[in-house]
Amino acid sequence: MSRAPVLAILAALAGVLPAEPARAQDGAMRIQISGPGRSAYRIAVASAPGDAEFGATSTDVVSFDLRATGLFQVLDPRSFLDPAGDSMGIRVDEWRVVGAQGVLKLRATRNGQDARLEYRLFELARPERAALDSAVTGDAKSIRRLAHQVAAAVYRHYMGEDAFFLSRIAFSRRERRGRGDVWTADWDGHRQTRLTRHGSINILPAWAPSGSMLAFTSLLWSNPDLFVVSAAGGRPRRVSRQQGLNTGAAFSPDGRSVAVTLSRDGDSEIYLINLEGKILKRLTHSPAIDVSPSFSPDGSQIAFVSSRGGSPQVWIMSSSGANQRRLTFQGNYNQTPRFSPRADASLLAFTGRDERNHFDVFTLDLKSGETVRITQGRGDNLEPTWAPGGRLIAYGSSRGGIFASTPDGQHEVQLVRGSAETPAWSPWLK
Amino acid sequence: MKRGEPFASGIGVTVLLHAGAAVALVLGHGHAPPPKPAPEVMVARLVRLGKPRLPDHLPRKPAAPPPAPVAVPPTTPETSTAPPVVPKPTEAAPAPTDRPAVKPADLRSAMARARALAARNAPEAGAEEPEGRPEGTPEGTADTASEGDPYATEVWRRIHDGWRVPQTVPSRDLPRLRALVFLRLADDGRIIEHRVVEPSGNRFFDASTIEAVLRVDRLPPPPAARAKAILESGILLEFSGTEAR
Repeated sequence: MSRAPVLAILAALAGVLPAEPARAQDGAMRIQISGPGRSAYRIAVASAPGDAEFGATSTDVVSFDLRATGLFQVLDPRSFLDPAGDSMGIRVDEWRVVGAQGVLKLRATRNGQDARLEYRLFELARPERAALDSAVTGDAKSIRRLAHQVAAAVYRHYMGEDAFFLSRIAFSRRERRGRGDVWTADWDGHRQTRLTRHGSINILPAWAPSGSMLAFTSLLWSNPDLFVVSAAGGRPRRVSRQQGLNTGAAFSPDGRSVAVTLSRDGDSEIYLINLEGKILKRLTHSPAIDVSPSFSPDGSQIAFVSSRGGSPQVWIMSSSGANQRRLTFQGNYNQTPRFSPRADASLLAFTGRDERNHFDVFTLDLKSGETVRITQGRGDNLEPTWAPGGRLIAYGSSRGGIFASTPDGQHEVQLVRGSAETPAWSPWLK
Repeated sequence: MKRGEPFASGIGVTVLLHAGAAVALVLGHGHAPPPKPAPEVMVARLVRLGKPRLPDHLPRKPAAPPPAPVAVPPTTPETSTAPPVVPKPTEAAPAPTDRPAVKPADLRSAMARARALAARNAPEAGAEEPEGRPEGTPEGTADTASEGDPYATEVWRRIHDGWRVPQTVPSRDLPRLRALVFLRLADDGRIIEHRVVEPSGNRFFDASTIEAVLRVDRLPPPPAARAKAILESGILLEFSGTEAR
C-alpha cells in the first residue's frame, strides 16, 4: 500500500480533512433534454506549405475518404482562410467561427523519391494539444496511399475501428469487340490495374478472404469456366470447367472452399468446390434456377437466389445446404444477395426490381425482416458489394461506373467512372 | 353579493396569516436556529403545448407521470408505439406479387383488428384539445403550468433546438449516453458559467452538449418569483441520447 492513502485515512480519522463541500449544482433547477438531432462531424482539412502538388492531392484524398463515410462534413476549403496556414498549429477561435469541430493539418514534402506526409488533428472541444500528431512516409509514387493512411488514422481516432480506405475494388469493364476484362482499383477508383489480358469475356470477380487472389468467370475456352488470378496480376489458373455454367463464385470465410453455380446437370445449382475445382458438396437440389451464393461472415449460412417460388427471390440455407427458406417476398425479381461483413449487423444487400421495372439496391435486416431501399430515381443500380467493415455499399449503375452509398442510402459518391460493372469490394488490405 | 366582498375577505386572511407568522418568529427567537434544510433539486417538467385551461372549468384529472426512461422491450405490432417506417415516396415498395393469396376470412379478421385498434386510439367523444399553454411544447407532460415550468420549457426549447450529436457517436451507443451540464446565469439570462459536471463517457457527446449551450446566445431572464433560486443555484441540464431525431 502506498503512503498517500494511509495518510489520507489517518487525516480523515483525525478530523483534519474537511467534509465534502456542497456542490455548486445542489438545488439547481433540473431540466431533462433528450431527442438530439444528428449531424456529420464538421472537419476542416488544411494543408501547410510544402510540396504544393502533393499537398493538394493529399487534401483531396483525405477529404474524399472522410466525406464518403457520411460521418464527416469536410468544410469547403473556399469557406475558410487558414489563420495559421504557414504552420501546423491552429487558432481555435477562428476555426470555431467557420463552424469546424475538428481541424486536420497536413504538410506534404518530397525529397527525391521519398515522400512524407505530416498530420496533426485538433478537436476544438479540447484544443490544448493535438489529438493526433504523426507522419507517414513512402516513395513518391505512393502519395495517394499515404493520404489514405492518414485518413484511416483520423477515422480510427474518431470511430475506434479500422477504415476501409486502403481496400480495393474489382470490377469488369466492357472493352471493344465484345471483350471484357477484370480490373482492380483503389476503393476511390484511382490507380486502376487490368488483371486479365487474354482478349475474351471476363466477368464476375470475387475476392478471396486473404485479398491475395480473385476468382472470375471467363469465356476464354468458350465455356464459362471459373478461373483464379493473383491480385497482383499474372497468369490466371482455370479452377472449374464443368460443362455449362461455372459462375458466381463466393469464397468461404476460411478461404478453403468456394460456393459456385454449376449447370452440369442441366439446370443451375449451387455447389461447394475446393480451389482445385473438386466438387465437395452439392448444396441445392431443385428443378428451379439456384444461383449467386454469398457466405455469412461466420460462414455458417449462405444466401442465394432461387426461382423455385416462381420468380427470382433471395433465399438462405445453412452452409451444409440444410434448412433452405425464402427471405424476400416483396418484388418479383430479387437477385445478387450479399451479406454485410459486420457480424453484428445481420444485413443482406440485394438488387431488386420494382413495379416500374427499375433495378435498385436494397438491404434486408435478417433480425427484423425490414427492407430498406438504398437507391432510387437514379437509373438502374445493381450488384451490391460491401466495404470491409460494412460502412458503405458499392454497386454498378446505368449512370456509368460504380457508386457507393452509406447503408441508410443518405450519402452517395461515385467511385469509378466509365464502363464498370459487377463490382466486388476487397477484404481488408494493408 | 357585492364585487368587493371576496377581495376583502382575502385581505383579512392574509393579515391573519402574516400576524401569526410574526408571533411565531418572536416566540421562536432565542432558540437554536433550525437546521438548514437539505438542498433539493428541482426537476422541471415541460409544459404541454395547447390552449390554457379556462379558469371557470373544473380541473381535469392529472395525467399519469411520464414513464421512467427504461429500455422498451420489443412489442407486437398491435401495441408498438414506435413511429411507422416511412418508405421513400413513389417507386419505393415493390408490389408483393408472390405472396400467398389472402383469404376473405383473413381479410375480415384483419379489418376487425384494425377497427378495434382505431377505436382504442380514437379520442373520446367530446374530448377537448389537450390542456397546456400556448408557449408549451408537444413533448410537454405537465398538466399545470406552475410558475417555474414555462421558464424551464423555454430553456429546454432553446437548448434542444440547437443540439446535434455528431455521427461519430455510433447510433447503437447513443441511447445509453447521458451527461449533466451545469449553467450559471446572470440576471439578464446570459450564461456566465457552463461545465460538464457528469460526463457521459463519450467525449463527442459531451462536446455536443457544450456546443448546444454555446449556440444559445442567452437564456431568458429567470422569472421574478424564482430568480433568486435560479441565479444562486443555477440550472442543471440532463442531456440524454435517447430518441435521437
